[in-house]
Amino acid sequence: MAQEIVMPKLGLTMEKGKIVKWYKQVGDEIAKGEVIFEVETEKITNEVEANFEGELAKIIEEEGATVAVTEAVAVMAEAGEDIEQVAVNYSKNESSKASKEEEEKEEAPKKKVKKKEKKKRKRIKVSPKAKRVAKEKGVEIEEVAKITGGKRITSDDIDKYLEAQVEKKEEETKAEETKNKQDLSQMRLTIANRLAQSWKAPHIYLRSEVEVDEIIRLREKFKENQEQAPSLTDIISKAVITSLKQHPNINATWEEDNYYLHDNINLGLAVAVEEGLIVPVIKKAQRYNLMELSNQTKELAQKGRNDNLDLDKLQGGTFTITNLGMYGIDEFTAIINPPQVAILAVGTIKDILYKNEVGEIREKKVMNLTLGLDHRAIDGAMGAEFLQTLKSYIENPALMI
Amino acid sequence: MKNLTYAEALREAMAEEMEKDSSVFIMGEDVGVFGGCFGVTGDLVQRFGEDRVRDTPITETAIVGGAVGAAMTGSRPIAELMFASFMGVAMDEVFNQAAKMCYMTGGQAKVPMVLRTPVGGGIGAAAQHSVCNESWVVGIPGLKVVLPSTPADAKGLLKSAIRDDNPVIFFEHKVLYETKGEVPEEDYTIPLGKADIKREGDDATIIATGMFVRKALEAADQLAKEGIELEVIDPRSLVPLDKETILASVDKTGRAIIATEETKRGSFASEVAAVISEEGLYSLEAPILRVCSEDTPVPFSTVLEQAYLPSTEDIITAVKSSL
Repeated sequence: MAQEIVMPKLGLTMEKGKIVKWYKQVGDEIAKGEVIFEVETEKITNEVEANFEGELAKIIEEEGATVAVTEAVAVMAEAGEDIEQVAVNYSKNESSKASKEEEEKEEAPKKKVKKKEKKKRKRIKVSPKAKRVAKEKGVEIEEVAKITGGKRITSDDIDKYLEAQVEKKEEETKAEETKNKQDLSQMRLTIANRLAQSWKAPHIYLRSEVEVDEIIRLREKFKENQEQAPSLTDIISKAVITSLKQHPNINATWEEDNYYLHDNINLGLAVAVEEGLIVPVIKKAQRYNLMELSNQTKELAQKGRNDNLDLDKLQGGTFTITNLGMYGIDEFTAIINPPQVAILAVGTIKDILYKNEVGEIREKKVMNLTLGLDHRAIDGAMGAEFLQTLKSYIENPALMI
Repeated sequence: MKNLTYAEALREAMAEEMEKDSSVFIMGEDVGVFGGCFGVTGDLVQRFGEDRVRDTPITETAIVGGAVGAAMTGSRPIAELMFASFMGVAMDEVFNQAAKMCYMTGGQAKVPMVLRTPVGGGIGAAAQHSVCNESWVVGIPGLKVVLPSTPADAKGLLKSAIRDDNPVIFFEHKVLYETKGEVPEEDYTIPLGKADIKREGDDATIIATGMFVRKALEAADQLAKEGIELEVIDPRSLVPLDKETILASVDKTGRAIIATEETKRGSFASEVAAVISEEGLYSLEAPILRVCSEDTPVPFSTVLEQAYLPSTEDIITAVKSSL
């Protein structure tokens, strides 16, 4: 909004002032506190500073003009406003205001008196000292008046107000010391919203301990024979894909009381990134052999970490694997990524001792798989069957071929 | 220290200056054998002779006019008007001669005279003998104006006034003549233009002159019992005025009450108020208040005179309304 610059009242007895000099011209950018023009009264010559920043749009009173106090001498435009437009609008408003005022004068002198009275009531009484102190200390009198009520504000009131502000601030800082508000990324907010939504789904969890000696051995064989080897996660992914082919009711989504089975297995892999968690999706994962799957996974994870993924690669999943094994987590329950109906949480690999068929103590490596299911779509038995299949593939990867 | 009355202190000041400087002499109605209407000159005629303590005819014009001439020609006259109310008769000599001679002669002529005269009511002396007309002379460029409130101030200020090369209107308050106070034994003067803080306090400043310094101090005593601490400032010389002391005090307390016995309209009190509002407005927490006499002639009736003069209670009321 454009604002008027008015002839200031520089002394108690000042009624008008003469503009001696304009220091600024139309089009000049003016910072708050900059000297705009010079005023001469009977007593003194004073430089007038800008109370607000802006761009000088129009000079109403030229040098040499004598202007009554509070009358407009110039118009200032706000940053971004077209100063020519502001100047034109101002002139229009003024002429219409003037004619309106004349009409009002003739028509309803009573009305005007009323208006004046109304204005008077709003006035805040401030002692001159308080006014000075408030200015020096940058205190808004209106804020102080909220506390003091109707009585005249003295400098003591300003001091009290400032003390109260300091106390308030101290309390705030104290609170801040134990609780630091964090700026949230859009990703974080999305995660929060989606998971809160997901939590509405009635989850059931099935846990199974599976032996992983075979897949470790398989991996070793890859390592011995070629440069690149699939990770254990890749092998688990392959086992999941193979299992899903046999249990299509798990490769599904639940969308507004509709249950969809999907022909393609779009496998989501949860990846921790700096800002949170993303789940890149390997589309039509059933097409890939183990090495291809491994390469796809690597590429997606890399892109994800570099924040380089298309939205397309983050959508459309039909099943999700999440793995916290590398953090030494034994097992955990994951929240389903809606609208999917199942999620597999993979725990860490551990050595355990067991008694074999003939009663000998042997060592083996195991890990926990926890399958989360949306009970609206999947019952426990269906999930258990899937988990059984998965377990058999992981423990005997050769069966996948 | 010795305990003297205000009148005795004034007499001592004159005697000391007359002993020191043979150009100093006294002239006025009944200042000689009678010892002065209020006994201020006392035995000075016996000590210094009729040449230096001169009785004059009843003519204020001649008293002041003679003093101006004597001063211009090398003497240091102390002229006395029996009542400040009579100054009107001599006003041309005060206003057009004494005040302007130095200026109009380009400094070739000096007018080192003192015009002593008692002001004030409170003794039933009626309208034509009781005026406090400080404002008549405070507004005249070329004059210095003094109004002491204690014996010590009276002596020290009168000695400075006698030594000053400018005409000094030296007001004395009649009711104060018989009041006693400590006066230093040694030779001392008090410079013109230096206010005295009679009592220190943080809550409000009272600028009081003459008789009203006593009333202000009484008010301060009573208010102190309520935990209100007044700062009482006596300007002592009204011209030149010690603005610095007054403004510093007002800056400290944020409140200014001016208490003088003059009628309020156009008074010296108004001048002080104007100075504070011009130069100390942003020190103020409350409006400046003047506690002065009613804008009427001074009544003869004692009852009415007491109603006319502001009381200690009036000062207290003003202070409280300012807090």
